[in-house]
Amino acid sequence: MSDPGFLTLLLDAAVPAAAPLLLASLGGIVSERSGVVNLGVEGIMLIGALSGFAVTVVTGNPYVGLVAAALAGLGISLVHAVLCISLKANQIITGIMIFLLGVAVTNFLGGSWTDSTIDGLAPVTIPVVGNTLTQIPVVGPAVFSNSVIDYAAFLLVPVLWYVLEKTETGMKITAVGDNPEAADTMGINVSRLRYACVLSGGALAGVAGAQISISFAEVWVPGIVAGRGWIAVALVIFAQWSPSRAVLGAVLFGGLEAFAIRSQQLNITRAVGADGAAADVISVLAEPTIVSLYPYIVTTIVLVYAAARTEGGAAPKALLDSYVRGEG
Amino acid sequence: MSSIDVSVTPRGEVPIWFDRGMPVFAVLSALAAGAIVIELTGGETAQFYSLMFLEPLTRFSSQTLVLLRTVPLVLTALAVYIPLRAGLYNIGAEGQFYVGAITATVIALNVSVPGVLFIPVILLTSALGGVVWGSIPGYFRARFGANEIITSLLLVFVATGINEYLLTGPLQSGAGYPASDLIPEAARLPVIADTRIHIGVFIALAVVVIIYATIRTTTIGFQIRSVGANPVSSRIQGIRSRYVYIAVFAIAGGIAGLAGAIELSTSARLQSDISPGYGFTAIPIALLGRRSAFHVLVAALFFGLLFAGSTGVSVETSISPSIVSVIEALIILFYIVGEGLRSYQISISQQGGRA
Repeated sequence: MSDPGFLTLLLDAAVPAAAPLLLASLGGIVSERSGVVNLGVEGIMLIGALSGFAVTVVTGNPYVGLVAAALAGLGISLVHAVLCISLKANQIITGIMIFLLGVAVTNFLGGSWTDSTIDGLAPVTIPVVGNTLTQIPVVGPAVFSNSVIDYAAFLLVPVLWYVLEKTETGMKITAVGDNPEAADTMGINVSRLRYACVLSGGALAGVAGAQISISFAEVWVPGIVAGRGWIAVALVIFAQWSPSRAVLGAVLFGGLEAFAIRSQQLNITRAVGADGAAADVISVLAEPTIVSLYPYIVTTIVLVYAAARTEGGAAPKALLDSYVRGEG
Repeated sequence: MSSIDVSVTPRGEVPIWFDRGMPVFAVLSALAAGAIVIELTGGETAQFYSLMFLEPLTRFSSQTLVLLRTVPLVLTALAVYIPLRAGLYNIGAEGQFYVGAITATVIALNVSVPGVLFIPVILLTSALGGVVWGSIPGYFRARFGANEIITSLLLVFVATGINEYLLTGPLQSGAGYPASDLIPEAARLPVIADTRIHIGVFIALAVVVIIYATIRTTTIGFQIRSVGANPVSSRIQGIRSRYVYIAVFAIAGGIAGLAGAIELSTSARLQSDISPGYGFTAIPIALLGRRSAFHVLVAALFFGLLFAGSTGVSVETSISPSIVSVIEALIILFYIVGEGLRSYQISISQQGGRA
């Protein structure tokens, strides 16, 4: 590395870049484990980002903003839940609608908020030992100086793993997602549990959006989520519906995004020592606008790899199926 | 415990008027919901909708605009419609459109082809660019089972990102803002007499007829419909769904790419917003018109009116033209509700404490 501080800077940016991906994909995992796909994550994140930002501007309190974003995410995913669970609608078309609705509503209402500024969620350190921990070379600042919501995102992983794998509620969710008929026979209220999962997933996506607007970027512009919701939907598949593997994916893509941000400080062409036509190609590939496209390309490749390797393996068996008692 | 019980049971017979009238129901409900949004944001519904739907029909210049907006809309909608008939979702028509527009611009500005061949060469290469771009999600779906919805959408970000790079770099005109040079006159589609209406209108109409006939009468059309209706039974009939999946996305990409090349004649130069979201508006159009390519055309004309009308609305009222995309999303919402009401009987009853 030409710059000794580069790795530190990269890791430092990777954690907050990974947090929204992690929150949104954990939300996706909860929803999908119960058998309901939510393709509208991008739209829900936008709604969360705008409502979290606007409420922070009005109240001056980013924590109130976070709550507002969770409620907004919950509200819009209620639409998805009513249509997909109660009205038995096609989950794919409904998800695409939620995506387009989120983009449209935030473009329509969000124009006037772009000039506002906020005091967002500042990085905090762990009490007592925090300052010492941030002195750890390279990883110290990245791991031990982040906003509350970033810590929460990573702490949610073991919590969710425990709930899904070790508790009765988790077993019921898996039962409803794999075989709703059998779950119904066992006395589980299929609709109620699916509602709970879709709404929790929506609240998490709303918070994921707010993490971007009130913690990571501390601004609102229309389209600020920039495809992270779709990357999160892909991460759910990559993670094979497992919270622990979602961390891996989120950190990988957070790192990639951080690299896109930090690479502007590197002279990659000179670093690899290329010349002639190769240098031209590399300099184009190292253009910031082009580098910022890598997450989308890598997501596509990773999605293909995951699909090829598993043939849907760990997917909940009743994913996309609406449940009508006495039918099928 | 007393609770409200909502029971949903599959419906048997569906009255034909309900079946056929469903898209109209979706549109009218969305406009009613849109009226609420307009009133809440301080607008005047009557004035707004008359500017949107009546005004554009009264003057020739705005009638022209309706037609010119309908062209990219109907073509990108066909790019959604064709995979939809095979049971697949292409939500990346926007990206395929951009690849077509970029290809057309590069050829128009850098290649010299003699006379009458110039425009056909531009249209064909752009369609080919769209075929290549569109085939990617189709191939990944067919070969590896990768979700085509996610991959087609991710490729939109890549295509618009490449466009952004080109317009701030290699293709940028001297003017200093993100747009290319004007393309030469010889590279633009001929117009009718003294109007702005170019032959792209007829090309789009021809594509509608061709797709209608292809889906209805040809072998590939039959295969597309069977795979869409039932992938399992069509496999028993010997139809290889993999080839159908690649084919529908290749055709879709080609048509969307063609739309991008035609739009370049309307705008005369490549810009970062050469599409105000045609490829996404294409989704509600394809859903409303999923019965046939002609239904797609009718739905596209309605949205062409909506797009043309929104220009006048933004001039004469304080309401942002982005309300159009809110109405679009609401149309899909009510379409979904309509589908639900068509397939299921919903009854709400009070459940008391009795056993």
